[in-house]
Amino acid sequence: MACVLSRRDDGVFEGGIGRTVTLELRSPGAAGLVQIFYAGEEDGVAPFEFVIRKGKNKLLLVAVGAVDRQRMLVLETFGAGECPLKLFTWTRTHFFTTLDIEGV
Amino acid sequence: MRACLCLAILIATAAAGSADQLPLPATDALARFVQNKDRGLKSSDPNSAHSALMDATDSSAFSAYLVDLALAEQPDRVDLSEIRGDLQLGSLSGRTASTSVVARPSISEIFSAAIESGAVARKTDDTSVTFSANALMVKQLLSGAVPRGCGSLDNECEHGSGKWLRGLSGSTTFSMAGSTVVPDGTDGIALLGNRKLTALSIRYEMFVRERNNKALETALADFQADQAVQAAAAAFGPAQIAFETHFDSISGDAWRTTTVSLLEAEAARAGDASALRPRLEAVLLQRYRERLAQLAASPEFVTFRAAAFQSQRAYIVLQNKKLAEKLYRKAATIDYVHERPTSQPELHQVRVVFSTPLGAHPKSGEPLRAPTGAFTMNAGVSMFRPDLTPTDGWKVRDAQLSAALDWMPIRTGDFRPTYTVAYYFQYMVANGVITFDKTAITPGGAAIPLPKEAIELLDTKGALHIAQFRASIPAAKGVSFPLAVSWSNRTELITGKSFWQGHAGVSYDLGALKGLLSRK
Repeated sequence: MACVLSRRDDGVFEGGIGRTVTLELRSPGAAGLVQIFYAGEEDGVAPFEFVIRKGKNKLLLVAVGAVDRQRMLVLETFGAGECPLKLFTWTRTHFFTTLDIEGV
Repeated sequence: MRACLCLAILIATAAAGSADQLPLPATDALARFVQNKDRGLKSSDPNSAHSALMDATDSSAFSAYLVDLALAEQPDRVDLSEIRGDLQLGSLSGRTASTSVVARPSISEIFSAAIESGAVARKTDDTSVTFSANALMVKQLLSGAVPRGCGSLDNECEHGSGKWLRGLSGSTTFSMAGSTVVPDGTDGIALLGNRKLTALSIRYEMFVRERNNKALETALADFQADQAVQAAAAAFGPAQIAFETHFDSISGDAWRTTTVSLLEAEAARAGDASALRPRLEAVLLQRYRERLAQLAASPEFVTFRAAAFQSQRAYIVLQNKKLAEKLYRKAATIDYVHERPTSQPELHQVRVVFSTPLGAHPKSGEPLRAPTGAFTMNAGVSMFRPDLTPTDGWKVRDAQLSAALDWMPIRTGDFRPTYTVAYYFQYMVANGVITFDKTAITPGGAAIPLPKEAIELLDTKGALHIAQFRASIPAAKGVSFPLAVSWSNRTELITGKSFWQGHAGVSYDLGALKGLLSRK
């Protein structure tokens, strides 16, 4: 088993339509993760599982701000494995990041 | 008040000039790109240079740029005066005109001004004006950033010099009394029109909550189970996705491709890594500006942006309030006050100020408010150099201990007065000294030569007891009128005669100047 999502040269993540993805967030310090939204309809908390839809959709991670600024890592997890997807800097006023995910 | 006006203009100018800059997620992504050695490779590794460029140009990075612009216009931070009843806006010296016998531990997060009449340790109808400024605000002004102070939600006060400057403040007090005007300037360290500078102070607040990471982490951990926070996030998520999807649909791919090409070309041209980052930042900021100019022409974009920012504001304000009510509790401050009382030697006072709120912690879901009660204590010692003889050195002049109990009834509308009962004790360890300059003459015009430039008053050693009742009545946002009456068993220099003294003043907490940054 391997990761479903891969990042293209244009920065968009792609994966097979109908495949199930589990996302996790890793941070060096405390940060209360609130919710993850996919395609404007599905939402939940990490670890967040969703099924890839056809076309390009956005996945938004919203969190309560971190102490100071923290570099966060979004990962796809499967079994005991993981694939790092995106790094971003998280503060109390920049408390979200977006992944473009295209189902192919 | 001219100084206040000048500062307001300065702040508004600085805010206008510095709001349009790259957001942190973008600068951080560019920093990752610059630090990376594999700039030519196209790798999907999140640590790679290519991924860093993708992150700097994606919809959430551009959205962060829009958020910063919007927040500069509507800061939405919680004013300290809303949640703290312990702001010291007036004079820090009881020997100049002052309305309070007990100093509070905190000052305005930006700038404050107060006019007060009636000194505490003297019987006088002098009037003084005090200006206080927070060091973080000064640093922000000097560095060209928006001078917001710290408030309850800014990373500015959690790292770097801001972490330490946040607690540092200074104030100056000028006497406005005509009797203290010294024509030749020999008895004052500065003259402001006809007003003599009578006190300078530096204070440091030691319990500054923003730099207490443990307290922050505890507060943040509580958010995970907070239904109000969850609900705000639930409202924000779909609005933000709709917004980003909309502006990406307006030639977003073409903009991104061109921007990445421009950044890569700039990176290829710049040889020196240290010069590369500012050059990349300039290119990206220009591209952000061009994109915003293009998008802003679309009424649909404006509507989507307003909807997304409205839900984001609600989320930020909620975070602010919840953090603020958890963080601002006990406070401790150390003061140094340099005083120039009229016709007396200079005094150097060191004082510790401690305050704790009284009453129950605010419950989750309750409206944000300052505590209903507070207990404040001061302990200090004053040194002076009497110079009665050529060998006179520094001496302890007096020691002080004071306490105040504040009661702030629950707010009805905007009206929330503070009532204070206070007691002040001062022990005069040394006799008082009066100084004369060479031009001093005896009253009535009779030219009786004075024996020397400083004379010691007899029997001024001993205890001074002062009791005070004070009411601080808010009149508008950031403006309040303190009124007080105090009883003292004696003055510092005249013993054996008790007296009553009335005090009145007006204070301006120009933390409300942040309102100037709002352009609705």
